[in-house]
Amino acid sequence: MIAGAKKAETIVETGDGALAAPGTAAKKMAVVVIERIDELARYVEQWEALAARALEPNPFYEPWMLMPALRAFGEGRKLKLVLIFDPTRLGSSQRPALRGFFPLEIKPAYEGLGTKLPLKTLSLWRHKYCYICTPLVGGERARDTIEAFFDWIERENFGCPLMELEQIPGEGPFRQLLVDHFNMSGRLSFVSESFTRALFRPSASAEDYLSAALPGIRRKELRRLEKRLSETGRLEYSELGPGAEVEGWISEFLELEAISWKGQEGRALLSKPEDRDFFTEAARSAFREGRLMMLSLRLDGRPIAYKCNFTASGGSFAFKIAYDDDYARFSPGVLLEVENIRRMHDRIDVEWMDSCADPDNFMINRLWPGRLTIQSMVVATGRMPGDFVVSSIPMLKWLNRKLLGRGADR
Amino acid sequence: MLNMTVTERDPRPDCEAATAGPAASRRKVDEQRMSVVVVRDAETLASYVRDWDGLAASAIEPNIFYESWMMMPALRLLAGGESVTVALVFARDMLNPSGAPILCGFFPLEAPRAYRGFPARARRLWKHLHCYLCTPLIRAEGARATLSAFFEWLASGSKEAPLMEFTSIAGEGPFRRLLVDYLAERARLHFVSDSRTRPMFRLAPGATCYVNTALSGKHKSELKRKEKRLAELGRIEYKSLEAGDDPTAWIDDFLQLEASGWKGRSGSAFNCDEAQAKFFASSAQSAFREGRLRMFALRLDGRAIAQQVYMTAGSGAFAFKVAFDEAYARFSPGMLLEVKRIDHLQSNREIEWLDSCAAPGNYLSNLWPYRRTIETVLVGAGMGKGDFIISLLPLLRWLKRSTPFRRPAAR
Repeated sequence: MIAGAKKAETIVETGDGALAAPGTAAKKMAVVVIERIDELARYVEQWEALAARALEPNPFYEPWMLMPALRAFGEGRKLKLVLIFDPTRLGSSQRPALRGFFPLEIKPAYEGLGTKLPLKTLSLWRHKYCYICTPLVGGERARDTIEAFFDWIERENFGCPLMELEQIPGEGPFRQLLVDHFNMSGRLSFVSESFTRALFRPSASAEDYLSAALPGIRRKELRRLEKRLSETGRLEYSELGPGAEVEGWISEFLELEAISWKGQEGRALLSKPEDRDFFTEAARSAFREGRLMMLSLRLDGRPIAYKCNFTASGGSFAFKIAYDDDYARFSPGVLLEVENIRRMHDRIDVEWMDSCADPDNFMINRLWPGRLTIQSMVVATGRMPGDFVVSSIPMLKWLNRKLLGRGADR
Repeated sequence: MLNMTVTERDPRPDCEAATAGPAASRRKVDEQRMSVVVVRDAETLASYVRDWDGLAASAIEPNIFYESWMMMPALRLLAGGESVTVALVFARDMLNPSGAPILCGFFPLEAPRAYRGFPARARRLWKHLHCYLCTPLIRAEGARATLSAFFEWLASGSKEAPLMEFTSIAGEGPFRRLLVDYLAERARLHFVSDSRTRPMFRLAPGATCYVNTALSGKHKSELKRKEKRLAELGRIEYKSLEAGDDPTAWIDDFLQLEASGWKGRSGSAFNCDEAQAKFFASSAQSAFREGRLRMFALRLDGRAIAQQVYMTAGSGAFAFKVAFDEAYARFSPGMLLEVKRIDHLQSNREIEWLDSCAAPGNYLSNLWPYRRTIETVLVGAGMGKGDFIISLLPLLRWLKRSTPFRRPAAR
């Protein structure tokens, strides 16, 4: 702890929704920890306000997506949802402004090495359909918020020597704040994983974009495929509009995904009831919030390719795609992606789209030349032997590889 | 597998001189045929200047410190006893396989030396006294293959130097992502030994007055008051170096102004050392010839009391040096000039970004809301020994901090 740093206080819930008085010190931030989903409902309004003004958007941690996720996947997990308030500022409804939202899970072991290290680890919660774990940090007093979070971690770490920040952006304002905080506090950190994935950013026009991204021969081939496909029936691209019947779109998407290779492998959203419930609920609320983008390619009215994205404060996240394998020879998924590129150039409210894809996704890497770095970091919470373990991880990684021959390829 | 050869001599055929003309402008990088040329002296490097400038103009990421007009004076004047080698990555031209190869990568390196007291030697990107960014120059076309070719060359010399340090490279942006991809695809052990941020200016969209958003009302009226009081002492004017001007007077002014302040007293001003003063004058002159030098001054009765030196690169610029007259410190002349110049940048829209090149904690932190990350990444050159040392480093960092006899490293 460096001299002069502000300490955050942990505030105990008083039961009637009011925060216990945090004292008069203006710099202090208040930390509230929530374990049950019904307690969280009370903060939804402040939470939404925070998401709208966050340094970096993350739809996966917004109420409309996280609440369904908690209901579907939260069962049996040790979750601690950490809320950081600024008692010096009152938001709407005269309650302290929410400045930070960090959903955490306590894991019994650290798994970042490929093998389980028997050390309790606090981790940003990442459920199976969560593709980025950037916590929500408000643009105002962002530094104080990060500091309050790590101060709190130092004291209330639930016996975890390690804190893992899995799948956070390796660039941008949140990461820069972390870098500054770690330098200032002398906290030891280690980047345990780092890769890049496809990111879409529009060019001056869709034609500019496509001619820069795809060689002429490939563009010609795609036009040929589209033409041949249109010879087999009436071809149409359609997009979910504001007044549309969303239930129909949701079920069409789910059914298409279920008959695709994913369904055959038992990995479709329909393969498990909780997955289906999560998606249906999240997509419905996203639609209500005006945050759902759905795009389909139809042949004689029947969908053969589907794309589902979520928007968030000027950006967007590609959530799922599905296509009908019977038409694989026409590359309907690629045709739809090209249509998506065209439509994204027409939208002025969305400046970028994160593919959320694997680093080596051949299809999307070929279409979107831009990249985004994603990292996982591990830091010591302040509890022994955190610092020592963080420092030993590279050594353990090396030993793992030398002695057991593991982890040499990804 | 790349067909890679390492040569110590010029790979260009004799007909190289005849590459001018429209045919030469159409070239295509052959990613399968790359080679590395190692240059060990400034004179040989000078013979590559045309290729080098071409590479800088089509690089994935700009770096003024590694461009010929700044690097050549630096090599001649700042290298001192250090021996700097430059690894040049060339590719065959697919459209003209027997013609001149295309320069695709430029990596200036310090000679291998013991890494922080380890019994192992490391190469590192060359960082001279006035170099604030070491991102190597990589041609956009065939960028991945170029980095792979560089690593293969490193591996071929890994007995001599098992470690490679990418010193002070941009922590975000195309080169860093290329490095992330290279290391992730091969699951290579690496260690980010340093990571810090520094202020960055980005052009606000539209015609927003930047200063109005960055400064508080109180701060603004305070500056206005200082400007007014300064104006009571004499005639004040804000000037910028124009294309038709003679830069020599500006350069001399700057050198004197810098030497008059704390940098002069601590011996770190350019004028404290003849070679360094020459380096500044020479690189500023060449930057001016290239149309890349921007200088701004706040003058009181015609005498500069604050000056700034920028150098442009692609769509942005680097804030290379600033200086002000300490006799007028109470009027914040540096700040006055800064604010005026930012408004100038905002209205003439010549550049989109400006790297402050400032140390952490600089006063610009409060004025410029954006940051850029600068990182140092250590990678094994290809032998087990390098990987082993990299895996040990964090542990040693911890030991160093935990031992009661040693204070934590000051940052």
